[in-house]
Amino acid sequence: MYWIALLVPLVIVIAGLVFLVARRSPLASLEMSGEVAAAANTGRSRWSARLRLALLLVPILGGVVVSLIVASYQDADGVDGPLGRTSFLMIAPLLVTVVIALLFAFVPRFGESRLTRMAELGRRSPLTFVTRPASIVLVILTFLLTIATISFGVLAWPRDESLFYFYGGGFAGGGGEFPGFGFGVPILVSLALLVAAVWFSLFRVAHAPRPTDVSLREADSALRVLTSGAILAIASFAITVTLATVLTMAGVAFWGVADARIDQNGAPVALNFTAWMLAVLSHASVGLGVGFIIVAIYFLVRVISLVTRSPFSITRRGSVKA
Amino acid sequence: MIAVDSTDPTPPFEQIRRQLADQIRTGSVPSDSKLPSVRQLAGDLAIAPGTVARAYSELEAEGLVETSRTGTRVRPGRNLSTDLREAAGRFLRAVPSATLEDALLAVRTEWDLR
Repeated sequence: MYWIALLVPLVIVIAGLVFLVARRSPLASLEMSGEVAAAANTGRSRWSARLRLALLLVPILGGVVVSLIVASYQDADGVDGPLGRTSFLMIAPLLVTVVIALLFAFVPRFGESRLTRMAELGRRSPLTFVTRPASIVLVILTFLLTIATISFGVLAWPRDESLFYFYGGGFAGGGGEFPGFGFGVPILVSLALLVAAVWFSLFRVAHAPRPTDVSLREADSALRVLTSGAILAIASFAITVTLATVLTMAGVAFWGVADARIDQNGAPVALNFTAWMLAVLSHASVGLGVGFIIVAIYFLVRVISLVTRSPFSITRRGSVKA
Repeated sequence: MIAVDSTDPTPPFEQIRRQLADQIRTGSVPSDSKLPSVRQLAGDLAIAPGTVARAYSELEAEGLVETSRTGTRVRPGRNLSTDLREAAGRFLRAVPSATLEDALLAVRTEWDLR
């Protein structure tokens, strides 16, 4: 299954090239001239500069995390299992995304020099510049990861984070590492951190001061829509990857138990309903895990699409559009 | 929309108070609608939050808005009624040459005779 990890850089490179080569229309087409056009251009270049800085920090941060993980696996005495390197590997996407979400919490000022300032009387909330489906999807994914983590935590063998099941008169554990609360609590804490970071970033994007000029406000809206969309997509990507990891890990452990030939006392295990159920659960979990990896790839492509798209184009007022 | 003119000798809090009061009375800002937060409005208008807070507290003293933990809202029943606005519209259409002072004097005279 480790080959799947190679998909991420591959998708980034291919999607990045496709979106850079493709001639996509900007999010908004604005007609303006003079000082307003200059202010819009300044705002857009400030936004691009900050975005480039954020995008530069992403591979650096990712590289540091990957290096730490690789180094930990080189160390034969490293702590494995819950709260160890496997646990760190599982929460790494969530923690990296916390930092990325915070990096996107900016909207540049357009630098207007006006004696009269104007403001809308609408109250802006963190969801003002966010599309409803994108926010609903993020809520559903957060809910699914929470439910999966708690459910697997309840099922897990508390002593060594393996799966336990009732067998004969007692119960037995096995199947290798299972995402119980030992793995689940760090995941839930990281998820809470990510949700807080996303909310904070969306709040900052929504509440940054708006320009006075009507055309500039449209330009400003385009920047905010792109930034908010990127924050939601990158958070959805991280949660989906974690969900896929948890489900796949559980599926492998389910199979390990279902495929067991002897119980913890060394007695042969007959194929019974429990083993059959665990086999079905194993296939369902791994299938869902693979499904969520495909969904994660979609979110990754969406992030790249959003951050490479031009927020707006400027047509000189009075000139004929091409 | 609300505007603050830095060249106007009227203090900014009074400019905000007056415009909001007018918009609430004419119904441009509907009853029970939430006003922007103090920080949001202050940021957009590039003024100090205390200035917006003062305008809001004066509006609250006038009974036009109410402030709770969830924010500042327009109090219900503070908008001009539709009947009143329609009657004013009929009056202006009937006497298009009337100035605002003439119109106010005419209404005041009728009010006193009532």
